[in-house]
Amino acid sequence: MANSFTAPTSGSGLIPSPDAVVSGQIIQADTISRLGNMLNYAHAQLGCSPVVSQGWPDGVFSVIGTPAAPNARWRIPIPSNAHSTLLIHVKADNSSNAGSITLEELTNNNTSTINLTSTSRWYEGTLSVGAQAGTYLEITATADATAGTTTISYLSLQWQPLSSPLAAGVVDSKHSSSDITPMGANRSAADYPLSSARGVALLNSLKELAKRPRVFFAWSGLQNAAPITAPKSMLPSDFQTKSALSRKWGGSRAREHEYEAHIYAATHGNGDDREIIWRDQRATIPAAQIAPAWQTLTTDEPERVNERPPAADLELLRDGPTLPRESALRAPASPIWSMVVWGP
Amino acid sequence: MVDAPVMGGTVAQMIDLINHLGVGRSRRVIHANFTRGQGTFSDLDDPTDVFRPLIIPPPSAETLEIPFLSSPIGRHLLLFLTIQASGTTPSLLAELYKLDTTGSPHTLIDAGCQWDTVNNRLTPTIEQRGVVTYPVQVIGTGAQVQAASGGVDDPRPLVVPLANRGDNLMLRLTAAEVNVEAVDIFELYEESWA
Repeated sequence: MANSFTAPTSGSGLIPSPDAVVSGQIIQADTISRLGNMLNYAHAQLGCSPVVSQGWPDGVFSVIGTPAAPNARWRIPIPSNAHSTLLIHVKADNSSNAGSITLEELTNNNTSTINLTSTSRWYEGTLSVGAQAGTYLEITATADATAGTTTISYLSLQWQPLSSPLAAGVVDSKHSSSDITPMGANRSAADYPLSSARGVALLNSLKELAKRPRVFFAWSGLQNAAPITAPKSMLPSDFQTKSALSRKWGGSRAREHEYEAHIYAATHGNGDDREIIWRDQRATIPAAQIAPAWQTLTTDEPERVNERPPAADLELLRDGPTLPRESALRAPASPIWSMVVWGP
Repeated sequence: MVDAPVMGGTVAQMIDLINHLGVGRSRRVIHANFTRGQGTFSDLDDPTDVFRPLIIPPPSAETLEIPFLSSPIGRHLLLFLTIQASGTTPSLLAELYKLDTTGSPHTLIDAGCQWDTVNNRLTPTIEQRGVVTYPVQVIGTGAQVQAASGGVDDPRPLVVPLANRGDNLMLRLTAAEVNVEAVDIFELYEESWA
């Protein structure tokens, strides 16, 4: 019994109607099968937006030789235990046809290396991350130049969506206490029983899927890059210009959705404590912390709407760190080496 | 009700939620940002308040590209762009391509739209009391679906043709006297005039 599914493309009639199952309606032959199809599709695709999408347009991410440590790092959420492949898109070149970029996930130390030529162009690669017990993983990017200069212009990472049919068997919970049970395509068709076990499996799958995170904001500074102008940490202008927009979902607070900010931070060793502000959360990085470490902040969806463009009619949240008032009296560089925000 | 089996509200709520997850939250949302070199960054040790990012002029011209694997259901792309503009005739063109990762040319699938001072979608340099600044502005396509002319239009959502949904796509931004700092891309699914 294959757990196959069909994408609910526009006009295909695969989106189940809640109006078909309200009190007084006669049971339709295909409503439950469409519900199962949508559940399989959502499991395959949800959380597969880019988790990192960052560009360096003026050659600021370039290296000569082999860096002693990674150039950039991010924490990224894992959609489910079934999602284990990261899709890599990188635009880069090496002036002597002798460079590469390596992505490494730090749980199992799996790596993926893309070799570069002297023509700046797009490359595609994949990284299999192996078994991941946690809800997120840490990943680093390291450019290398055996000869010449390696220049990275853009890097995009996103989880590879699952293909149809889904693998048989229950997928253990990741972001809730409920497992995902893919639905057999034919078992939901007409004349098959809608057992209580199937109802429980549907509810559990929905609970887990509703908690699956999506990345809204990801930024990393550059370490060990050749240009002295490469920003190692977030600068004052970044707070204003690099915030992200995300949809505000109705009912998010009632569903106890959590937003998380993961921040890799350190001070610059000049004797000042530094503050990080994100939404209604604050963290202090003590002056003595000059080696970066991860901070995690969590909060609910804010009740306010930041922007509602009249042409878009969307309720939007603007997300990213807030520049503390103390910054005017401190070194321009903030303590933020890397920051990723995710939520529903 | 007689002869009308009732399923009640539980299944309807499950359908509501799965439609929200499958049609809403599974659509791609992309936040892309661009990081440039900063001449003042080496000034780490001295307390200072002289960091003035808004007086750094945008580059005269550059081309930026953002790749992503689209979802099978996204029909249009809604863009929000955080930018700074300079000069007197800044412009920004957004085009959509099918991404090629073999070194061959990318395939243009939407000639796209443009923001400039001719269609009054961009504010150029601001000069007050002899001080020239390049204010941060957010521009966008809007989410109201409009017919594509085949050429470059005024700002409108970009079209993802049926044949390209689920493909690796690439948004190309051609900027003149415009500094693109961040781009937010939302896939649209809603039914439209088509």
